[in-house]
Amino acid sequence: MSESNSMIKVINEELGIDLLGVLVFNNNDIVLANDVPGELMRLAAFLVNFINKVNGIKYVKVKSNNVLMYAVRSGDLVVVFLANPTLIEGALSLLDRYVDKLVKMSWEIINRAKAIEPAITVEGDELTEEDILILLDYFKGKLRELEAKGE
Amino acid sequence: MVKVFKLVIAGPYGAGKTTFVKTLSEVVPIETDVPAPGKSTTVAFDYGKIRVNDIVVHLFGIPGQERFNFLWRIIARGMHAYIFMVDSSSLESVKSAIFMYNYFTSTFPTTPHIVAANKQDIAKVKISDVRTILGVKPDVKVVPLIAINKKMVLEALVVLLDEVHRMMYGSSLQQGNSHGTGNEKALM
Repeated sequence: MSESNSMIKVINEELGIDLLGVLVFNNNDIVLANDVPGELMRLAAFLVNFINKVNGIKYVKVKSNNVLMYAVRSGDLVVVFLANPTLIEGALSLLDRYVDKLVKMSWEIINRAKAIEPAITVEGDELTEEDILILLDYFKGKLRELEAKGE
Repeated sequence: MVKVFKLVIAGPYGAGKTTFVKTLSEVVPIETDVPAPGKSTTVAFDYGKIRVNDIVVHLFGIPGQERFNFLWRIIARGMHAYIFMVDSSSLESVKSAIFMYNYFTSTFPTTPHIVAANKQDIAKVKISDVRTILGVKPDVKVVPLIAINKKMVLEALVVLLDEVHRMMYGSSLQQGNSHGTGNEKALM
């Protein structure tokens, strides 16, 4: 998040605009995002979901009463800029120059996440119904122990 | 090879997932919390473990913030079941869980789960309202929870395991079971 917050600051200072947010999605997963309200995040997620379903879309601009969303696809990633709706739409193309940097930052995060995968991959023999019953008995037994102790 | 049961504890920021893992784990849980305004928050995942005969129950607590949602799928991969926790002491917090709950139910539609309404000792949102706000399906159980209370944590786990059994083998063990948790009346 700190990376994204810093990027917003840099973009706003360099372009003299007041960007509300930057989000980067990998498919429908958010990889990078600054502190934007959940409602805006969900709106962006809807837009990205649409972009991912339609082949060949490179840029999308959507304007509502409270936000102007500008999305740029770059390979598997989609960068979404959230701006005040009063922003002149022509200024959006200036944001393109930041896409490569955001994409690079996002891949670094994705790769860091992949690096923890071995730590969270647990493998074992397939569980049977008997195993589930053993677990149930065990935890019910623990409950009875607590009840017996009056806890 | 040892058998494993992978249990994921999901829920938004501040729901009490780290506490749940701490209360249940037999080993010292691995935590990756960092300070956040007013409290701490999980940035990678929490991990705990319980061994039952030759079965190891792995507990993974998932970071709650939406901006970490790329981690959700990675951590949840291969899970057998999940508990979705909400902080029922705050209406705002329960509402903030909608996105994550929708994500889990749509991404893992066949994985057994229950919803746990945590912080019942200071609850402001009724369990029936938690169900309505999240849009929990009628066949999914919503249980009361205080994550620092081991008895309630075990009760939630028993309800979940019963749900796993019901979904995998088509029968619930709690009805008419003399070893019931006593918690069934509280389920909505």
